[in-house]
Amino acid sequence: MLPTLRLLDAEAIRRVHQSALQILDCVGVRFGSQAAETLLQDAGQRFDPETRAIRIAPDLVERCLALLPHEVLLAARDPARDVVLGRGRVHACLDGQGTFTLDARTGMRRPSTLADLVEVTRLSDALESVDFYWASVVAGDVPGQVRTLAEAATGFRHQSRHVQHEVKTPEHVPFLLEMLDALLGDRRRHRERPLFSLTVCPVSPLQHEAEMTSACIEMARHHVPICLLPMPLAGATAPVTLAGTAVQTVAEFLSGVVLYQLAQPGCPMLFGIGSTILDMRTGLYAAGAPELSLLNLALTEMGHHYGVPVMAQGVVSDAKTPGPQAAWEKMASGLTAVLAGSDVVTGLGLLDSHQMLSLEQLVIDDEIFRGIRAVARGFEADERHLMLDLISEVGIGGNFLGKRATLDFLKAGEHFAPRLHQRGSYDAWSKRGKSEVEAAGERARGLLRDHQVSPLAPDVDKALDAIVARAGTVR
Amino acid sequence: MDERNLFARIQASVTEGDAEAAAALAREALHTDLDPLAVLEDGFTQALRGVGARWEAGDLYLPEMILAAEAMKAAMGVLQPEILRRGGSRGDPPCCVMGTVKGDIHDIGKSIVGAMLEAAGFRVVDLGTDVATERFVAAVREEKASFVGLSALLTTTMPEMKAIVLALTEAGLRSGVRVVIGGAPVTREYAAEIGADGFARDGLEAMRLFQKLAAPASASA
Repeated sequence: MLPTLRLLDAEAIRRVHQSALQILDCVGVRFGSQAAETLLQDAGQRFDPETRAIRIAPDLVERCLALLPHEVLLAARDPARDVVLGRGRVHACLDGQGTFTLDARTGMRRPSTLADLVEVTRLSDALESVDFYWASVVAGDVPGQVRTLAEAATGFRHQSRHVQHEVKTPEHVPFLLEMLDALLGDRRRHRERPLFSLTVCPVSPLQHEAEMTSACIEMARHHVPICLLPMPLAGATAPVTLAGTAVQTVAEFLSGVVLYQLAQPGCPMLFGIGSTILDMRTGLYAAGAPELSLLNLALTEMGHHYGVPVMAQGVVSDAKTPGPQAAWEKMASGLTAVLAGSDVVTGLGLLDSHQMLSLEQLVIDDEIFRGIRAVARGFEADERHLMLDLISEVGIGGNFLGKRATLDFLKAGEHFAPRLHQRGSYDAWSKRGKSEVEAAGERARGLLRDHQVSPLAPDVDKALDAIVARAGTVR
Repeated sequence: MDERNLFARIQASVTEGDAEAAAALAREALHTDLDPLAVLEDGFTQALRGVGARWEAGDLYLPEMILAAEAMKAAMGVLQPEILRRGGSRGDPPCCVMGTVKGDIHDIGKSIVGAMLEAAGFRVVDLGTDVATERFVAAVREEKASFVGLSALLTTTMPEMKAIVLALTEAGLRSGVRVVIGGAPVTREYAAEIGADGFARDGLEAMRLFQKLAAPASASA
């Protein structure tokens, strides 16, 4: 039995869906990408050459929704780490893509580098709760021309799970496909072994980024799953009400569904939820807002209504340092997203509204997420779990500690075992003499020192470097 | 006509962000003996300053500030021609050309800063998003701008900021303008590196920075 949270009833789901269809039909969206405009026009949709708005008919949306796969395989180069989304189990991935690192040595924030990305990637490989890669931070010291490619290569090299990343320009597509050749022997195998998937954020309200969209269309044709991740901000780039923001988010997602299903019928997709509010005191993005949790809840239900796996932002925070604010915001957002039934939650390792990496925080988030997963697992209430025989056997006034069944269930994970959180006595805590954040830092350093990432074959490793280097010579 | 009552109503129209009422009150003021410049300065500008201070103190929502600035603009549209006709000058407000750089269509951050600058009394020329370098240069020249505000949300479009600073230098305009940059991935260090005059993290910081940069110029004017 799984604990679940619900917000929308059937009538509300119908209203949100119909409203989103109406927006696409009457207002439309702007792709800015000629490749996208051609696809939509060929499908008979109304294009306004002046504004480049495309209005999409409801029946096309419905036809494209029917093409969405309900399960999405995110393959890993270590097949034991493959993930299939859409089967009711919750997964977690790193967050993408911060531009700063909270330097543990100085305690100060600084622009993120490739070395930071390698560190967080290696650390994530050692952590149990992370199910796949997303380039956590920008490799700011790598030249812009090849940066995204180097970040993808880092994912393939320094961890062995699935790699989710971005593609910013069509010029990168051939190089990414060459990486798939190197990893799989032939890019055509990517259909069966999708090692790589893409996230792409529409720019609210109702726009897609031209270059990214053109590149994603090409990648979708090579069986690369697409996670469409609208990030409207209630009150600023979407209506102030959460219902209005939910409708607009759905409309933006559906416009992507139409585009990528036209480009590649059956293209595996995820509904990424990045909706939240603009903080009206500072004018900045608010990740730790309770409203984010409500939007996650409603939009996860919409995603599941469409039969598409959902990637929600959970375990997210606006806090500038690991501490009470980070802990409560991440727990609140993570728990709600997971209990809503999200297939993936993001956010692990970043602070400051997805902008800043902290390795300590990643270790803390691992603990938070494992705790959340323990709640989400619920419990069975069958005969074996009700343990009536044992209760009778122990009877009145006995105890259960010395029973074999107690040990068996503990070993099977019946109780959550914290690694970082300190239970126990005050004296033990005071003897430890270090804060939870310091303990997290120690664990991070220990894992980075001892953990071995399963290495790429030497020729593949070399090929990835060569591809990135070659991309840098293109003018 | 009770003068104090008029000023109280002006104050209320700005505080409540009622542009229609603000314009009507400005027209009403033109039918009195009051000096339109005084109506603008002691009425509308004063009221907006109060709103700004309350927003800074965290007592107001951002849209209250933006709507108050809109009300002030509506009143200015009525009063300005009359002030000029009477040969007065309000001392041209400093002009800021702003936009999101080429290849980037993120609008909201730049628009928030623009609204706040207007509230602070700047004349803002908003070029929109995905703005080519040449358009920034041309606008600075045409508008006789003394400020340029550049926004980028993507690490891939940040280099455009450097190109714009360079183009302003090549056009011989750089010494006449202060360039301020912003956007989530942008840093103070990056501003220094590309030779911009400043960096701001959010709307409030931007408003303070622009005011600081404008202060010596207006003091010497």
